[in-house]
Order: sequence, then C-alpha cells, then structure tokens
Amino acid sequence: MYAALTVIGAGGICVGVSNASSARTESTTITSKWVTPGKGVVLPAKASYPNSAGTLGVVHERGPIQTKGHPFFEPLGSNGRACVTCHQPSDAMSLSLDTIRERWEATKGADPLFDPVDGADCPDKPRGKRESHSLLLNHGLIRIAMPWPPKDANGNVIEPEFTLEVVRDPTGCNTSPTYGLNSDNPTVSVYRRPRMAANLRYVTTSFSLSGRFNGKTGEPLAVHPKTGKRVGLPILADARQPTLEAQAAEAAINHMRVHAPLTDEQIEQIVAFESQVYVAQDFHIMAGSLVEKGAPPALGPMALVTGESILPGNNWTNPVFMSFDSWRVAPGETEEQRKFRESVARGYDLFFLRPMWIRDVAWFNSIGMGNPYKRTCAICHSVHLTGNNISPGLMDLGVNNVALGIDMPDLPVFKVTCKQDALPHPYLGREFLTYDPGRALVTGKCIDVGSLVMQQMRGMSARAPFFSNGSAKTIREVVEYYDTRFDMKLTEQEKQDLTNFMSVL
Amino acid sequence: MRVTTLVLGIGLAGVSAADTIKAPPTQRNFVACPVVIDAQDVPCWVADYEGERYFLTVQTGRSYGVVFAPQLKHKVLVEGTVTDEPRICGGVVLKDVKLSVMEYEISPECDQILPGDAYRTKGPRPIIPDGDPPWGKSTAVPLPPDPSRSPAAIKAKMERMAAAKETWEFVVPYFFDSNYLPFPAEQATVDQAADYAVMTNARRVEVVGYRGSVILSNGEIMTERAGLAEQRARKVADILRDFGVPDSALKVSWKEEPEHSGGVRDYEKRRVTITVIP
Repeated sequence: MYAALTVIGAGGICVGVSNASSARTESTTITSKWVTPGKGVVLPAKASYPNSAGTLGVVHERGPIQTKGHPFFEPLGSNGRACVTCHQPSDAMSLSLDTIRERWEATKGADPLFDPVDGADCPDKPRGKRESHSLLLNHGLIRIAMPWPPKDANGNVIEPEFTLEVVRDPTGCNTSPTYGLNSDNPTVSVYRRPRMAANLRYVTTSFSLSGRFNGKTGEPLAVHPKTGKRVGLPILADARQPTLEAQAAEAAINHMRVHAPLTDEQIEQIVAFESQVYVAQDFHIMAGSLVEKGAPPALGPMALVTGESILPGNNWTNPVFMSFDSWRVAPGETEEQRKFRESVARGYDLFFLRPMWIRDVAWFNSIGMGNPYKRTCAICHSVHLTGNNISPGLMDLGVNNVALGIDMPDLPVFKVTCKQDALPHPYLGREFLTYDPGRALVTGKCIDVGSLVMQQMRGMSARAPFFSNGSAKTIREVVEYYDTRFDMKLTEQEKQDLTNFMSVL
Repeated sequence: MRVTTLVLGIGLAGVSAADTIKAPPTQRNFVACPVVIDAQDVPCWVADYEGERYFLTVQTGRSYGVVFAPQLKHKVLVEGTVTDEPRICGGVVLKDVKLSVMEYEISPECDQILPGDAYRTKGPRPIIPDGDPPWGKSTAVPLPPDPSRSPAAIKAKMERMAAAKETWEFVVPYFFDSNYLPFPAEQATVDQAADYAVMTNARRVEVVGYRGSVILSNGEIMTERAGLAEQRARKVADILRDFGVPDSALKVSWKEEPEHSGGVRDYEKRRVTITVIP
C-alpha cells in the first residue's frame, strides 16, 4: 500500500511517496522540516512530518495555511522569532530537543531561537557559545522569568506565604546582580519546555461540577474578557494566563520582544490558527499505519478533528483513548508488526485498568480523594482523546521537587520555607527543595509550590523530552518515573508495553 | 469552668482541658493517624483510638464528595456516634461521621497501608474506570440521589421564595481548621446564595463567619485557630462579589468566640451563614 505524503521543506513543500506499511522513512524525501519565521510557505491541510518513531500527522481543519503575513509565523518583534519558532508543526506544535540541536548545528547558534533573552541560561551569557545555552541544548528548556514577589493581574504585589532561597545556581541567573532574586528587579528564573499549541479544543476547556468554581481550589474561575464565560487554567505550565489570547499577548512581549502589544486582529488570527490545528502520530515504524482501516479509532489526527471535546474519559462510555481491541490479536504484515501492535494494546490496558496507589500528589490527593488513592492512570489523564486533565489540571506530581523528581543537576535549586500561619505543602511540609516553584510563583501560596498544569499525551514521539523540566528524555523514562514514583512494580514487558502505547499516540 | 490552653503553634488550633463538659459516652471525637486497608473492590480507611478500631470511610472520589477522605502524612479529626451496625473493615461504624484532615501539620508517622484481603467493601466508585466494563457489571454502589439537590428542585424553590420575597439563609459547613470549599455541594450552596441575591436584587446579603471547637472524647477541647471566622467570612464575601452580588448589599461580620455543641455535632458550628434579604 502506498500513500502520498506532503512534507514541509525549508523554503517550500516537498512531496514524497512512501510505503505506508513498513518502510515509510526509506522513501520519504525530507530536506528540512523546520518552518522558518517570515519565510512564506503554504502548509497543506494534511501533512506528515518524520520523527524517529515514524511520522506525525498534522491537520489544519480549515484548509491550507498561508504563512506569509500570518502573525503566528511572522517575526513580529526585534529578535526574529515568531510563535512558530517554539511551536513547530513537525514537533507536535512544541519543540523537540533534536530539533533544537539541529537548529544549533545548522545556524551555528545564530537562529533567533537562541536569543539570550530566554534561549540562553541567562540573558547576560555571551550568545553563540554552546555553554551559554546549556539548558536549551541539553534539556530543551526555555527560561521563564517571573517577578518575585508575584503580582496579580492588575500589577499589585502579592505577599507570598513562603520565602525563597537560592541554594544551587548552575546557570548563575538567580544570583545574578542584574537578573537574580536579589537584583533591583527581583526575578526568579525557572526553565520549562515549550508546550503543545495543538489539539487545543480539548485543552482550553474547564470541567467543574459547580459551574463557576475551580473544582480543586474552591475559588471562582477566571472570566474570559470577551465571552464572559468562566475559563479554567489549562494554558501554560503555571496557568498564569487564563486564555489563549492572554498567552499570545504575553508571549509576544516576553519571547518575541515586540515593540508594541499585538493588535486584537493579530491575536485573533493567532488564536484562530491554534484552535484549528490537530496533531497525532499517524505512522509508526514498528506498528505501520496508524490510520488504516481497522486501526484503533483514537489514533491519527483525524480522530481529534472529528472527536467530541469536553468528554471525561475515565469511564467505559467514552474511554480516554477509545478501544485498542482491533490490535488485541493484531493483524499485521509481519510477525514483528503484529507483536508490536499487541504490545500497544496491552499498554493501553495497563494505562486504563492497572490500579496503583497514587500518593503525595498535591491538588489531587489533597482535594478530598484521600492520600493514597487507588486507581489507574486514567483517573488523572482523563480527557477523552488527549489524556490531559481539565478539572482544572493543576497538580504537583513531584517532578519539580528535589525529593520526588528525577535528578537534574543542571537546574537551579530553591529552598522553600513556608510561613507558620500558612497552609504548608500537603506532603513536603514547610521546608523543602524545588527546581521550580511552579504555580506558587503566580499565587504566592505554599500549597501551590511545585504544581503545574498537566500536558496532553498526543504526539509524544515528536516532542521529547518530557515533563515541564525536560527531566524524562524519552517516553521510556516517563514510564520509569511513574513506576518508581507510585511503586507500580511494572515488569520489563509492562514497561515496554506502556512505552509502545504512548509512542503511537 | 477551668480551662488550660495548650497552644500548638502560631495561629494554629489550640487544645484545652475542660472539667465540666464532656462528650456523651456514645460519641467518639478523637485525633489519630488514619490507616488504609487494601480491601477487596475498594480500599477503606480506619483509625484506632483507645484500643478500638473505627471505620471511617471507603475510598470514594470527589464526584461523590460526601467525605473528605483522610490523608497519610496527616492526622485526622474523627467526629461520630457509635452504632451497633456490622463492622466494616474490622472497624466500628460511626453514624454522622465527619472527618477533618489536620492539614497544618505534617505527621510522617501516619503512613500505614494494611493488607485487606479479608474484607470486602463497596463504594460509589470502583478502582477501574466508571461504568460497566465489557466483561460484566461495575462493582460500584452509587449513592442514592438527593432530590432536594436536583437543579429543577433548586430552581423551583428559588423562584418560589423570590416571588414571595422571602429571606433565605444558606449555611456553608467547613472542615476543622479549614477555610476550604472543596466539594460541589458546598460550592453549590454559595452559588445558589449568589444566584438568589442577584435574582431578587437583594437589599442586603449578610455574611457571618464562625469558628468552632470540638469536645474530644478524652475531655479536651480543641479549638480552631484564631482569625478563622474572619477569614471564612471574607472569603465567602469575595466569592459572592465575584458572582455578581453588589458590594453595597454585602454586610460582612464574624464571631471570633468559638462555639461547640456539647460534643455532638460540634462540626455544625464551623460555618459561614449567608442570609439573603430581598
């Protein structure tokens, strides 16, 4: 079986023809997958982009996209970046470490991606030296500079419930006299992965059993300034902006160095683009086509285009990733393919059905569920077809906390000391170490330290590394983390099954 | 009444010893480490007090937010009345049991998960996803619906009272030492109060915060931290403002003197009242 592929090249479109069953990568001609800001191309309505596991399918629901003049693709500020710099179609509208390194090699560090404002470990590092960009080049991390103490939406200072002390500073930024915590403009620098700007219909929704309330914090949800509707906290790792519009406006200032705020029209165009792009792996070098007749129905980007959003998926009516029954005893052209597909089906069963003791997760165990709570992966990764969480999705899994996270010696470490009259972090107490205080840099609350908004699970083969701080280099390391964190006692086969399952999403 | 106050920490709950007021002998009000039992179907929570084991709750989930389940790493305040119902998970069943996680202090010693193959428990949510799996029926035992909480019933009541311009008092309950509204039921109460105030263009909305105390079974009185009554009242008022209640109609006050109910249903004193006067 042969399928026509459309692949975006550096300055235009390359069309390749491939064998969709087993040897797609051999016959696909790719010159470059990078979409350069300001270099107009037409992104086709449907395209496939290569990655190490196969190809990622990208669908523009409203048809081809002319990037020339489009604010998502044009460099609007002074540093040559556009939104697309960090949200590349080939990388599931995120940015993989492989791609970052390719850009470094291709441009010798001159690509706007490496603007020191946030593409270096600290803005005062000399541009173009590999060591100045170590967190971006080694972990795929962008610097996020947050004012300390935090300020509310009106710019008023929030008195924090805890103190922050820099106890390790490999980048030097948090102790910098110009950019650090004790500078004239006190700032906390944390380092995070760019998030996916795709499948957002499934993300920008909040689910609350009580309408106007944030079901977790018991406080009112924010109001969308245009629609007047209540909105959740699904955007950005720390949920500091409540809407896509606000996120775009902030990103233009902080990441693109615009001279003037974006116009309403530009923001509308950006949000309209983000709201119509869907991504998912559509071919896997081991599993073959993920979108052929008889493939599991949740696979491929068209499942997301046609799927219904706002569906809780931790149930048998609308299971998170529907059914993998067709691969339980899988068809396949080779024994190897059949075995891989069956492994994927077993991996989904583990995800959906294997109970574990979920414990010490702030804003999950601490909201009345109980600590521990015995259930499956799907209790948190519950949104139908994307596996994120919109209840809202803030929680502290532990990846940011030194005691519970993967060791990250390249990251700064902060000592958090909660005040005596404040509610402490529910499981770490009043004094602990963190790589990133997360949501607490927005709210100033001790119970929020480490909490971040959960990501969706699609396009994972296109956008490693994982977790907000890039601490899991591969899907397998994600599985290993959960196995350790929740004492799942997975066998080697089960780990591989879960890894394979996530690699086809 | 002789009262000795033992202050546990700045702004934290206090414990006093009282010699004149005692909880009834059938009442069990105590603070202990919760214990998880890995029973069949769903886990259950128990706590030991003075040589006896008490059943607290099965694992439920927030959708069925009727019990704020205990948390390892924290002690739990248990308030309930002993019954002679068959034991569950080896524990004495308490009637009207209220559980409050002691969130201000970490208790690392509370870290026990026990095997529970000998116990079979049912809960409103199974361990695996909700609903009937392909191989059979769900093990879940859903809670019976409360007709008074149905949207239609609430709407009808609201319209009836608004037409008569009746004053409506809403009561928002709290866990011990907490200013947290975690569950849909409590959130819905504030929601309804705001809706009623807006619907009737209320002349006045009176918000009063209270703090409580509990007469423990060992004779001590445990009091919520100072200032909590004010914090509760202000927080509820902020939510009502956010939901459209005009500031000019709001009257916010609090009662700092802690209240209890003589050791039975002391939890009812931990509250905020919202009185909407059309």
